Amino acid sequence: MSLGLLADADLVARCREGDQHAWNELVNRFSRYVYAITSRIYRLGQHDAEDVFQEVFARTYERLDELRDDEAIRPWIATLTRRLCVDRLRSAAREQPMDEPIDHGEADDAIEMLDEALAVHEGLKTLPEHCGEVLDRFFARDESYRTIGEALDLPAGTIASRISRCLGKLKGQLEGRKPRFQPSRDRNESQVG
Amino acid sequence: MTYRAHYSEGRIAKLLGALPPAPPAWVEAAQELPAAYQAMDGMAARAGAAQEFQAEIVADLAKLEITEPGTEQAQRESNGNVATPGGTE
Repeated sequence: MSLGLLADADLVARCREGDQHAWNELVNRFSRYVYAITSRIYRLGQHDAEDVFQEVFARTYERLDELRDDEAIRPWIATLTRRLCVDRLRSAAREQPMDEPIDHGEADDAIEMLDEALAVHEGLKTLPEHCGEVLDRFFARDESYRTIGEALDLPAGTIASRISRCLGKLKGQLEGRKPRFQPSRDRNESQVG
Repeated sequence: MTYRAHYSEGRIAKLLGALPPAPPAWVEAAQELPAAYQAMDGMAARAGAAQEFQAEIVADLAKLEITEPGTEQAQRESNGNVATPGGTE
């Protein structure tokens, strides 16, 4: 089975055994999630966001052996990222007061939405490769029909119809599948240190 | 259970757009962490071995009680007990 299709718990177990490919996949799987929390939810500047991003994965790597529930890696990462973002913001606020205080309820809602987004994004992996790529380029990377067409050597009109067709496939796939994710707030997050 | 029984295409589009890719350099750096940790472990091991080796040498020298030429002169200099050029003692 491709590493991309492995369940989170199995991927964590492979990482713990020292499998570099599994670690690469783990970073790939959660990099957008961590990036979105730092940059979109907590709106850290580029420099702070990068520091937090690296710190999250460094701590994840260091603590693989201490995880009590391998399946809970995503909420574990979410909690760790939030904590590091809040630390950054508080530290910055000591030097320059923040315009708006941190709204933890708002952050909860936003992370819940990212949980769902991650589940949808994972769904791309089950589609034919050309579908995943075209949907990711158009919606997540915000590329135009023209840019995608040039990259894939296809006319812009073909890109438009492919997006429509692939979106329909993804919709059917999402509506028919069983759950793999639960919102981070529903999971036990007490183990994050 | 799925998150939703029905996903509109607009909702899917919004969710896909919520996760833009992280800068590739950040991802690469995070993927290189295992190698970085291995390198650090290697350096720590070498530093530990070097310290042990240094301690062994110091212990050996202490056993030999070697007095090298110039050692007494250096000792006097460090105590300030030495004649300055052209001066008197």
